[in-house]
Amino acid sequence: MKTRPVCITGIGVLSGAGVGREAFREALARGEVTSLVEEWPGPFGGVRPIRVARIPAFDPRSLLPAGRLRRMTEGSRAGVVAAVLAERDAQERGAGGAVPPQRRAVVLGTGLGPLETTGEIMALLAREGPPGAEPFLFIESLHNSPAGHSCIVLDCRGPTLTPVSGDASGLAAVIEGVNLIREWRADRAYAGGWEEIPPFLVGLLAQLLPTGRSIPLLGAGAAVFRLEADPVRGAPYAWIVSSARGHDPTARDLDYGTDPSVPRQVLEGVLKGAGWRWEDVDLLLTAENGFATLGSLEEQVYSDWPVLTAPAESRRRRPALTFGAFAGSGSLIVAAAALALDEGRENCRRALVCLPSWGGGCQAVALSSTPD
Amino acid sequence: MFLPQRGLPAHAASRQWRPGLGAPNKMMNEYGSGKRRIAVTGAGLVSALGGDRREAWGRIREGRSGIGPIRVLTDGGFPVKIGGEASFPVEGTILRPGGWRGLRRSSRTDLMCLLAACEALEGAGYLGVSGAVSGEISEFGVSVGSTTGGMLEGEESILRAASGPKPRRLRAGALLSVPCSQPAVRVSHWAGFTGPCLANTTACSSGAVAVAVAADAIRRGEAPGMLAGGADSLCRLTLSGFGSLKLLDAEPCRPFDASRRGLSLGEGAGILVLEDWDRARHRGVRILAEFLDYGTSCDAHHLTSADPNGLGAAAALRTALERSSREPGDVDYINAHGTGTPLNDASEVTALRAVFGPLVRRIPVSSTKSLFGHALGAAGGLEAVVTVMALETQVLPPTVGWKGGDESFDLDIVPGIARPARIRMALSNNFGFGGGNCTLAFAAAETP
Repeated sequence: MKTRPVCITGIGVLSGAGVGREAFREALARGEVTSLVEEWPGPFGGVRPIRVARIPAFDPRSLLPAGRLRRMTEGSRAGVVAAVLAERDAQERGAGGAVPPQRRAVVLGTGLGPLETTGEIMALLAREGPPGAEPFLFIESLHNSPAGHSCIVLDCRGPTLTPVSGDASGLAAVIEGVNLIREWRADRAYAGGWEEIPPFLVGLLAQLLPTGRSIPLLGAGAAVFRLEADPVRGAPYAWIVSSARGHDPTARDLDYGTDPSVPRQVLEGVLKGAGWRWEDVDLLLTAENGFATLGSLEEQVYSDWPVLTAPAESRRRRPALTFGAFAGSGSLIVAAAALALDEGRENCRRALVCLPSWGGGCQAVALSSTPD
Repeated sequence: MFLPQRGLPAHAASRQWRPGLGAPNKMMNEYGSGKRRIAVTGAGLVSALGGDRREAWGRIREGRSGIGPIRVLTDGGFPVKIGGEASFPVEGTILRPGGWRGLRRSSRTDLMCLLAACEALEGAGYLGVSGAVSGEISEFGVSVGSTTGGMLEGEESILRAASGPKPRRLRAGALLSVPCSQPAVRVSHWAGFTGPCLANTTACSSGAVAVAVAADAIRRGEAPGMLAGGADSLCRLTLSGFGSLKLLDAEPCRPFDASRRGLSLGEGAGILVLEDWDRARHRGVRILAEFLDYGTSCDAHHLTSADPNGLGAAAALRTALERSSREPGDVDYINAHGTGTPLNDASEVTALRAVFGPLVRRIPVSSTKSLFGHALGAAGGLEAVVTVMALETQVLPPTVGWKGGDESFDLDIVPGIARPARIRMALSNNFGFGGGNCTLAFAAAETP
């Protein structure tokens, strides 16, 4: 897995902090974004206040052609805009040379897909029956619409994938993007994730989760990375040197796993792939997002594990607590790692991102500030 | 044996890279000539043709289409009333109620996927007499493509809650199955697998892409074997959505026929057991076929209309051949995407002609969507299973409803009923909304 090094040459981010990498970076340093409090009926009456970090309104006309904008819902925009921002960022940093369209891939993951659009269609079907269906909404209700739009906007004619892997779908996409390049199926990939948090989902969570179970800050967002094979011009943010994936079959439905040995095996796998020891890791980014089951799982993973020769806590960061659960489907956490490596903040040269996701999945990548 | 240089991307040619011809670096040693071989050791099929692949194959051989009245959607008003609705009795299978605790929360899509996975594992010799999955494959993974997951149950819950004078509470159980990752998750949970649990949704090519991604996971050593394919059920969203796009035919679809007017939606699940070739040989199981490789591409043209020049589809076909180290002349059968819409079929024929040239007239082609309808995310899985069965039995599946008449389609369409043939290598095409194309390449396990 260490052959044909793959690096991040551009980053495009939309988050509760706003549009662009700098807004994200500043919020990361600050440790907070502006969130709105939305109120929804609870499962047994009463009102549940839920905090949501939404992407602030922005004008996409400078980023996307008007003709394309007309063909996409607001929900589709985040992923496509992030991909365009990643391309612009890479160009501004003078990265890479020309890559033919047939060798450019797009991999955009999402855990829940365009829920708002699906909700709109359901409302139409409830009101008018099947004749109420609208072609535009139907097309935009497909999970892979943002990837399809991105392919058109960026003229990518290579592989296109839309991984769905719970709230780590963005990380799953990054892993697939890296694999496509490593295995010579593409030379450049726009890979990352997006997730919208429409009122439909917030209302659903308000109803589904028992009253006693708190609902943490939820976040919308998207992060897309321009990945390419080494060597490249310019200064990459980071190299992705290895990845590992596993699954906890004891997880229940949309909940997180409970077996700490699964994330541990994944972590061991990614360290082995990178040729690192635990003490080589300067930064560990975990999934913790305020949901109790995930917090409990990660607590078990990182405490009392003999492999950890130094306390994990001092190197551990939890970006999802800042940007909200589900934000970018894990891709914002990868962005946080890449930016930390780029800045060399905290003497950071080697970072791990390990994300258990709902349904029992667990994925990890190792990022380095050098090709290793 | 190898394709001419025109088939290669410019940058690859400049690096003197040829699939199977030397390697520019260590990676190509692994993924070029010396790449790990993948065996197909099991296959499961749930479709409008029946609850298992043997039953389906019997009907395929006779050319008996499963497209008929849709009963699963009881509310009226849909633009068409027919489709390829699957029949799959759960009673009598190891998934009977009480047999597995996850069953009661499973959607129709999940159930079909689980049943196909059961059949595939049983065929591969990994299911004990008690129905338990062999512990020796706990490191296996799952890769399933789906377009709408458990949308059927989700929309029922939403529409029920929205009907009536006062909004009612949504049923949590139904909504938990909606995400497109759930079919893969259910199978992983049921089988107790700890390997990668992958899901992918690229519209109508989802199932094929899932097979491709699974094979790569085995080749890079992520798992010794994978269950891979696609699963989708009929639902209001797709039936009304395709209706709004005017893509549905009120009569059973007739792919490649001059009178074709659109597609018939279908549902089902098609799952393959893919595993390392040497492992399969070592344990002495019957290998149904070899998975060679695949090609993927994107039209980057339009979200719902295929590129009329078929450039993306042709690129996927060429890549599949190149990565499989095969020439166009090696192909003995093509399971076409063949939806039955006027534009899609024409675009696919253009792509086939571009890749195969004059050879296209002698390579048998069929669209099995004429038998079980277009099962969207499941289509790639269903058609991969059918392609494997064609290689296994040396029989070409037919295109029901095809009577010819379109003289611009200079293909050897297999009409009416199945016919025996010598099939050493076969391709399966799937193209989807969003512009994604995927071609899978399989070979007979032994030279026929």
